[in-house]
Amino acid sequence: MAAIEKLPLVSDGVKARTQVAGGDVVRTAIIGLALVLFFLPLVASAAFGFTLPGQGISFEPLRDALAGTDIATQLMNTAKLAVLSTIGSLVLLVPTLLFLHLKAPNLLRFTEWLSVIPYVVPAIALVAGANLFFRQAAPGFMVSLYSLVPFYMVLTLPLVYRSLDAGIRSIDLRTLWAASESLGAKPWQTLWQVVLPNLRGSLLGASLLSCAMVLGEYAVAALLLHSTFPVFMVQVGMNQPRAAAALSFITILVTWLLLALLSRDSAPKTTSKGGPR
Amino acid sequence: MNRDSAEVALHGITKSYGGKRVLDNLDLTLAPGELLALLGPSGCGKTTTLRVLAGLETPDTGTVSIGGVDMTSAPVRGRGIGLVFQSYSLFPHMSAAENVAYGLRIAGSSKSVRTRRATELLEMVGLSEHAAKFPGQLSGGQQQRVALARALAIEPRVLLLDEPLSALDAQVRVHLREEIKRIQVQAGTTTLLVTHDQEEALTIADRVGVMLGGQIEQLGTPEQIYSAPHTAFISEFVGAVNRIPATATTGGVSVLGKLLKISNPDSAPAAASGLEALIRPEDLRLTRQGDGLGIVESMMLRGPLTSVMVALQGRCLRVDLPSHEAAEFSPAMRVALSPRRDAALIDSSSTTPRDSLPAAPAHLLSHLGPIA
Amino acid sequence: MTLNSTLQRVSWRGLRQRGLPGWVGALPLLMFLALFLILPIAANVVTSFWVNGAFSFSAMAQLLEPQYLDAFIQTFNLSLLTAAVGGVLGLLLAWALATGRKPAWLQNLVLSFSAVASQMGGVALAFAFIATLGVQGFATQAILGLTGWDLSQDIQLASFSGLALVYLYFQIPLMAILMLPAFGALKKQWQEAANSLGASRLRYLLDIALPIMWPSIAGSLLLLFANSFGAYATAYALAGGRVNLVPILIGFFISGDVMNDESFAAALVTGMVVVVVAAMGLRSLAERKANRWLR
Ligand SMILES: Nc1ncnc2c1ncn2[C@@H]1O[C@H](COP(=O)(O)OP(=O)(O)O)[C@@H](O)[C@H]1O
Ligand SMILES: [Mg+2]
Repeated sequence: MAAIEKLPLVSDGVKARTQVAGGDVVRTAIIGLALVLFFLPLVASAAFGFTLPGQGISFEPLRDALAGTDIATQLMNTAKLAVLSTIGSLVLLVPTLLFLHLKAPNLLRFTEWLSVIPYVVPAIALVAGANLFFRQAAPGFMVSLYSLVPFYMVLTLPLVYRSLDAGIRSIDLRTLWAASESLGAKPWQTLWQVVLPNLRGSLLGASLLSCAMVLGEYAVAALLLHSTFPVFMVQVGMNQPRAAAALSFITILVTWLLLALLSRDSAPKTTSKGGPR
Repeated sequence: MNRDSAEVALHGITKSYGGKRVLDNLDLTLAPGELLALLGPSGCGKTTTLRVLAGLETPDTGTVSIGGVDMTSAPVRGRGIGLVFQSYSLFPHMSAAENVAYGLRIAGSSKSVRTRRATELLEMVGLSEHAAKFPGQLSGGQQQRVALARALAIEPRVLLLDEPLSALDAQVRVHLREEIKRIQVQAGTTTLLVTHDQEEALTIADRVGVMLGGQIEQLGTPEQIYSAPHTAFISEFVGAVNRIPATATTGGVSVLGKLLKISNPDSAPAAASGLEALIRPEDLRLTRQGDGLGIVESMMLRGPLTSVMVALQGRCLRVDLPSHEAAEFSPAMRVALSPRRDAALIDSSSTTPRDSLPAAPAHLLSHLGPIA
Repeated sequence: MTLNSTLQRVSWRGLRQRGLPGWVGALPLLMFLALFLILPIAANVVTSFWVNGAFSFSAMAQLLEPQYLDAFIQTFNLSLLTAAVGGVLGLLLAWALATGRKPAWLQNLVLSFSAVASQMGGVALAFAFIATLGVQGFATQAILGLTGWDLSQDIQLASFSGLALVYLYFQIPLMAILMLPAFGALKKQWQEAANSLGASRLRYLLDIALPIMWPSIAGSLLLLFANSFGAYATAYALAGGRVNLVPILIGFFISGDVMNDESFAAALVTGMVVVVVAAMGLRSLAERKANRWLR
C-alpha cells in the first residue's frame, strides 16, 4: 500500500517530453508554416486595404470607394438572401427529415443521395441551366432578387442536409417521440417542446453554414445580374483594389466568426466541398 | 514447433510521464518458456511495463534484456517479440491469412513458405476455414485468435499479450484463455500476459506478479498469491475476503475466539487495537449453534459452492461451503464461526468493512432467490 | 352509392392506419430539387444536343475546336495541378494536425482557419491575394524593399500559374479537412504491431498506412479536382478574360458578352458537367471502398 503514496519526482517529466520531441518539431513546424501562409493574405489585405502609401493607417480608400454607392442596399440584399435561404432550407428540410426519420427511414438513403447532387454540379453549371430553363418556362421569375433564394438553397443543400441529419440521428428521435406521446403530448407539442429544443445545436449549425456560404456566393448572383455584396466587391475591385482588399478582410473575418460559432456549438464535422467560387 | 524461448529480465526500470512516476524501480524476470501474468488494478503500470519490454517506450532508467542480451535501446523490430493488443490490431485491408503471413513477408520468406505457415497457424487457432476473410468479417474472439497467430508466426522469443481478452464476452473469454494456455505450452514461448482479471491470471499463468503503484507487490505461483498473499491489498485483489475484528495477544492475534499467527509480521500494523484479520470465505468454518453469535442472513448458490452470508457483530461475513454441506443452513438460523487455518493476514481496520466483499451478482440472486 | 361510400371508408381507414405513405415525406424535397436543379440541368443537356430545332451532335462537336478544346485542357491541367500539389501539401498538414502532440492553440487556430479557407467565397480570396502579391501588394512591396526583386513581374496573378497559387489556398485546407478523419481512423496498434513484426517505418507506411488510406486519399483528390474544375468566382475576379478556362467561357456566354449561340453554350456546360460528374462518380466508388476499412 505504501507504494501508492510515493511522490512523483518532478525532474523526470522533462526527459519524457524531450523524447517525443523529434517528430513533434516537424509537425509544429508544418502547422506553424501553414498558419503563416494562411494569415499572410489576411494580414496583407488588412494592411493594404486600411493604409495609403505614405499616410499610414487610413480608412480613406474604403470611404472613397463607398461614397456615392448604394453599398447599404447591396449589403441588405445579401443579408436578406442569407436569412431567406436559411429559413427556406430549414422549412424545407426539417419537416422532411423528421417525417422520414419517423415514418420512412428506409427512404433516408435515397434523400441523402439526392442531397449530394448539388455537390456534383458546379454553381456555374447550375446558373447556365437555370438561365436556360427559366427564361423559357417563367420569363418573369429571374427578374426578382428573390429568385436567387431557391438556387442558394440548392447550393447549400449538401451541408445543411448533413448537419440536420446528423443532429436528428444523435437524438434518437423515435424514442424521444414515443416517450413524449406516451406522456400524452400531441404531435405539435412534441415537436415544439421536445424535438426542436433538442435540435437547437444542429439547427444553429445548419443556419451558420448556410449564411456563411450565401455571404460569399458570387457566380449565381453576378451571372443572373443581381446585385449582392460579393458582386459589389468585384465592381469596386475593378479600379479600387485597396477598398476591395478592405472589404475582403471584413468578409473573411465575418466568415470566420460564423464558422467559429459553429465549431463552438460542436456541430457535426463538415466534410464539404469548397464554398462558392 | 521448436524455438529458442528466451529468458527476459527487467532491472530497475523507472518510467515517468510528465512528472508522474508510472514505473518505480521495477524488477521482473521471466524464466524461459514460462507464462507470467501481470495482474493489477487499472493504471498501476502493467501496460507500461509491457511496452517498455516491447521497446514501444524507453525507460528513464534500468535495463531490459532478452535472452541475456541487453535490449534496452534496441528498436521494436529487432527484439523478436510477438504482440497482441486488447483489440483493433489486425490490419483491416488484409485477409486473416495475409495478416498472419505479414511478419514472414517482412522477413523475406518465400510465398510458399508464408502460405504454408499461415495455414498451419490458422489451423492451430482453429480458424482454417476463415483464412480468406477480412478482419471486419470476423468476430472479436476470432480476431484475437488471428492476432495471436500473427504474433506467433514470426516465432518470437517473447510473446506479449496486453489484456487480449478484455474486450470479449465472458464465455468467449473463458474459452479463449484456455486456448491461449494450450498454444503457449505447445509453442513454448516465454509469455507476458497483462490483465486486470484475477481469475484469468490465476487460471492460466505459471507465475503471477501483482502490481501496484508501478512496482511488483508480490511474485509467485497462483497458489502462493491466492493462499499466502503478502499484503492486504493482494488478498483483497485476487479474491473475496472477509475482514474480521482481531485483537493482538502475545504471539499472535485472537480472531473469533481462536489464537492465530500473523502471516505478515513485516507489514502488519503495530497497534494493539483496531486490527482486522483477512480471511477468505472458504477458510471459515460454520456450525449450527443455538447460542452462536452469527445469524444466517441469506444464501447464494454459486454452482458447486454456496455462499452463506452471516451477520456478526454488525458485519456481514461470507462463508463458502460445498453446496451439499450448505443445505443444513437456512436464513435466520443462529450459527457460530471459526477460522479453519492457524494463521491470518492482519491489517488495520478499514472504515467500510462491507466493501471488501464483492457484491453479489444481482442477476444470479434474482434467478435463484435465497436457498431455504 | 353504397359501394362508393364503402370504398371511401375503406380507403380512409387505410390512410388512418398506415398514416401517409412514406414517400409523401420525400415529395417536397424531390419536387424542389426537380424544379431548381434537375430540370435546369436537364434543359441544358437537351439544349446542347438540340441545334436549330433538331437533334444534333454539332454543338458538342464544336467543343473540339482548338479554342474550346484548349479551355478544357487548361481547366483540366489547372485542376490536376492544384489537386495534386494541394493534395500532397494538404495531406502533410492533415498528418501534422492529426498525429503527435503540439500546442493546442496552434492546432485549433489552424483547424478553424482551414474550415474558413476551404469554405470562404472566392471573391474575397481573390482580392486578398491581389493585396498580397499584386503589383502594389503587401508582400510584393515588402520583398521589393528588402531585396529589390519585384515578384509581381514573375508571379502574375492573372495567369495560369497565378491562379494555381491562389487555388492552392483553398485546396490545401480542403484536403486537410477531408483527410483528418482518415488519419484519426489509423489505429496506433497497427503501427506497433507492424513494428513488432519487423516492419520499418517505411514498410509500415507502404504496406499498412497507405493501402488503408488510399481510397480516402483518392476520393479527396477527386473532390479537389472537381472543386477546382467548377470554380468561377476566384478565376473571374483575378483574371477575367485573360485565362482560357471553361467556367470563365461559360460565364461569358451566360452574360451575353460573346455571340449568342445557345446550343453551344449549353454544350460547354454539358462538357463540364460530364467531367465533374465523372470525377465525383469515381470518388463515390473510392469512398465505398474506404468505408469498408475505416470504421
Ligand atoms: N503515454 C502516456 N502519457 C501520459 N501518461 C501515461 C501514458 N501512458 C500511460 N500513462 C499513465 O501511466 C499510468 C499507468 O498506465 P498503464 O501502464 O497503461 O496502466 P495499466 O495498463 O496498468 O492500466 C496511468 O496512470 C496512465 O494514465
Ligand atoms: Mg493497460
